Amino acid sequence: MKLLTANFLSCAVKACKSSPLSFPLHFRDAELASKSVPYNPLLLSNLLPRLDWPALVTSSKELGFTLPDTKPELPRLSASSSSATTADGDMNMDGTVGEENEKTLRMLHKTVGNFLLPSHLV
Amino acid sequence: MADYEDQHVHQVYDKIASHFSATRYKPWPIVHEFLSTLPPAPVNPNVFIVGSDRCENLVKIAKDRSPTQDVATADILSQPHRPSSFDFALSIAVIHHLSSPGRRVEAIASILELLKPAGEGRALLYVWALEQKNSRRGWDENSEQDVLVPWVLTKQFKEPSKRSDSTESEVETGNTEKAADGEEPKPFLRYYHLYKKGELEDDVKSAGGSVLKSGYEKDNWWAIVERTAG
Repeated sequence: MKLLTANFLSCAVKACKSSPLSFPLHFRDAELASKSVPYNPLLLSNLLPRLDWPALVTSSKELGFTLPDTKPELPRLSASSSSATTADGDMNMDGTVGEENEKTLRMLHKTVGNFLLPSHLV
Repeated sequence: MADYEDQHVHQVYDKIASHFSATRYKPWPIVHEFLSTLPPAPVNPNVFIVGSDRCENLVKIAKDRSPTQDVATADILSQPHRPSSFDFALSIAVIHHLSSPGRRVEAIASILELLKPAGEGRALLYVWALEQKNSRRGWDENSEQDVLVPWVLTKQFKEPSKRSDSTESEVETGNTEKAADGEEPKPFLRYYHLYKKGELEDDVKSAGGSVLKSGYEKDNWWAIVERTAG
């Protein structure tokens, strides 16, 4: 699972969706792998406004690296390839991702997020 | 209903995933057109896509196909996508696997829920059509709408443990080959609700959506939809 993906996922339990705890999901015991991808300024300039930056900062702390507290501005970002690599990097995680209240921990099975629910939570 | 779908949809796709995936290798024309009209114009590398499927084996195949996409295993009725945050959604050949009118409407509502509001987010939905007189299935508007459709695994996609001690000539007979004990290979049966003309649009409205455009393409009904404003 990629780091950016976590920015677009919430808890799958319907009853949780209205709760502020349902997003972002939290990484625990995650193993981070980094893979560089081709720098694509067009992708970044489209992606950046769509990211929930505070949630991304939270995810990054859980995974042991730091992002600036405020969302980088577009011109600066496209000029700086190093921060671009960070935001665009392909982060794979093994471990668990779950809500803060731990009701719905999901294993990231072979690095693919599995959100299938036990029947009592459907 | 959920148990029925588990047996007649989920378990079947897990078994036929490799073969099924191998028969889906390029976007259908309207899918391609829909993706091309999204800002930014070029189809793929500039859009970050998060996909999900109920079938773990299909998800494994889709994993890591591109650096700008990711996949998760999830059920359409309990999907994990962040509500009201997506610019677009594609649902191809999913809704017709739900086995009651209420569950199909719920599936569409679940897709609409993840979209940004009307004017900002839209979805392309595809379902199999009842009206496909010229397909090899041959159904028409008078056919039964709730059906079990067979999928026959060709030899190369069978699990190695279940393979018979085939000679080369047996291998070449492909689809028509017989199992080791002389029985015909058992087809996998998948449940489908075949949509008739106008039904997809009606379901979209019941789910709280508006149809922007809809039509018929190669045995399928499709609709481009958004959340109903207000």
